[in-house]
Amino acid sequence: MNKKIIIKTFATNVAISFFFAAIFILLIYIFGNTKINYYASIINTVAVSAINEKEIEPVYKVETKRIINYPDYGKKYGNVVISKINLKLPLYHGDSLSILRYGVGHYAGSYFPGEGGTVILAAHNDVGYFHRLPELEKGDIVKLETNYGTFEYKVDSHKIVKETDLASFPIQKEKEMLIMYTCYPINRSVVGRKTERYVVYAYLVGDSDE
Amino acid sequence: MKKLVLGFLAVVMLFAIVPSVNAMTEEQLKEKMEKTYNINGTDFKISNDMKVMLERYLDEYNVTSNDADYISNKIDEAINILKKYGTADVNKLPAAAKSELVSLVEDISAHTSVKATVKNGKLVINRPDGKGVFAEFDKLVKQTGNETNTIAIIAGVSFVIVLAGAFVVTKKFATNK
Amino acid sequence: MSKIKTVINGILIFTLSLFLVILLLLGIVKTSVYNQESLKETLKENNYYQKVYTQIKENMEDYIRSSGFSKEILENLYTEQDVKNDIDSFVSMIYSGKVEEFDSTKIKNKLDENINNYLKENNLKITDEDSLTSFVSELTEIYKNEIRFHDMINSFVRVVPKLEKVLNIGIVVMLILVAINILILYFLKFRYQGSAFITASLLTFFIRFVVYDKIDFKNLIIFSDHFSEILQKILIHIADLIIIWGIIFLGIGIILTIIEALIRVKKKKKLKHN
Repeated sequence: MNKKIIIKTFATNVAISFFFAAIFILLIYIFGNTKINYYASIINTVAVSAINEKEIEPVYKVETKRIINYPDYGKKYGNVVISKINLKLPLYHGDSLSILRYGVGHYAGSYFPGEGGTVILAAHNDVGYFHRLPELEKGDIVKLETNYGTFEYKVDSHKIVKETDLASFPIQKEKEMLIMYTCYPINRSVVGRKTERYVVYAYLVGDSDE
Repeated sequence: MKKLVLGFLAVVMLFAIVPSVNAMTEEQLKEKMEKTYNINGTDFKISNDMKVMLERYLDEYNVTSNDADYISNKIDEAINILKKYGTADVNKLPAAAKSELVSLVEDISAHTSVKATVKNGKLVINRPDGKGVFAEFDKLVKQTGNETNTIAIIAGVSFVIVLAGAFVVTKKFATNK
Repeated sequence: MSKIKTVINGILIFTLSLFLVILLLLGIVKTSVYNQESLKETLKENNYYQKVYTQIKENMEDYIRSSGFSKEILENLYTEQDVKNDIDSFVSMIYSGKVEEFDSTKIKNKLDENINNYLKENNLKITDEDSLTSFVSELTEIYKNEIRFHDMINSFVRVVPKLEKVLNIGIVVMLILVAINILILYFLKFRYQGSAFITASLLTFFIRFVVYDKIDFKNLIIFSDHFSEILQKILIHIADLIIIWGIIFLGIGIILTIIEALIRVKKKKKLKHN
């Protein structure tokens, strides 16, 4: 008899609890679900996974000059090779200061090598980076060995420009042009924030990996 | 820094993703995003480098025909806000305008799976699945456009980027293109 | 029990469970988010100060790479203790609700001194004073931005004490309502008091596993990786607290149910005896 009372009391309490909980949940769904999803979605805008899955290699379509699976920003996707100045540096997509620490940065607002447009690369003027860029002359070869193909460019000209002279970095898709630049003056006798850039212009001569 | 916040709002619009009802094709939408808009007697359009990034993003991710309408409407809303206040220069926009643009971007952010954040002082756009960075925007604008009077924006000099609107993507399978 | 009494009983259980959940959520926010000491402790446990110190060093080195200066000019610019003090001041500023400008004089002066020494030792002259000024200014900004991230936080700072006031009032009001509710249930000998706590516990679990899980809090990245790590830890801690209190409510509910059952058994025995 006592057992029956205890079980009945428990069952009633649990049943009431579930009943009221169900009402609450229903009310939340009816009146609050949209708002909750709304704010959760806004917050989730900044929920980005720090872990990359296994990367899919880019694929280059020669006929259309298009790349499938562009490299992520911050990822190495090739090397810059300039035999004349004994240079081989890793090439990264993106040109933030933390990327330039490791090699040559590819400006994300320019085209990728092989796409038929302007490719803009930057590197520091330190020894081991672009400090020998001024030694390049017309006709010298610059190779971009990417993980979807190798592209050769012939140096055409160079100039020294102000950092704000954006017209010296034309983004276009009529001709494949390579622009490499570094901070200027390069020598260490001038120190501080460098307000000029040493810019080298080169044009595509062939795709070695066709 | 204020500029960066507003730029963030603006570029979030560029890379947002949402399902919606359609009328436009991806090509028409791209044209709409890249065309010149006149606000208060001055022509504006997105800069060439932003155009490159936009094309790259659209190359990788499809705008389905069900989504272009939403984006088109958002672009129109953004332009109307700027026209109402007579300027696309963020420095000249009053608090009310910024508030309206913030609401617009919040709305897109809430209804889409855009992945963007402000990190180390930069605006970072991630790929729609959240894995991998698509682009980072620093304080500098590297490139301006040419023919018309253009203002290029990354970190909030103007709201030209707002004109680009938001778009929905479904990942293209990278085999037969 | 009359029908009216049953209805009132039901309403009181319904409202008590609601007040309990609201009180719990407000209490968790008060003890975790609005607890300055707890936050500083979390920063210390996660080596936040050291990580920021290292990050500042790396960022400054990246910045000066093309400048022609060597890393010498960054020596003794700041210590780990300086970084800790500045971060703690920033945290205190947020909780105080008063925006204070960042004082970069110490770093700027030290940097000027290091640069002048470097120029003397290497027999160099500055040709462009403006560019040197902006160079120093940008290095100082690097330090400031790693500590304070972004000036947009200032608009949030002003709101913090107001929110805290609202929070405190909310907690007091909820405590009073919960107390009144319990007293009414007890003194008017209403039944099924345990079910209020069990309902609260079910709601708590619902909030934790359905609502809370809508936010991908393990992957939230904002301002910096180190800050994001702290943010994620706080959110995970809040999630754990919600579960713990859910279990506590369940326990209280079960105990009250047992007590109620025993009282009913006792009553039945008394009736039988009489």
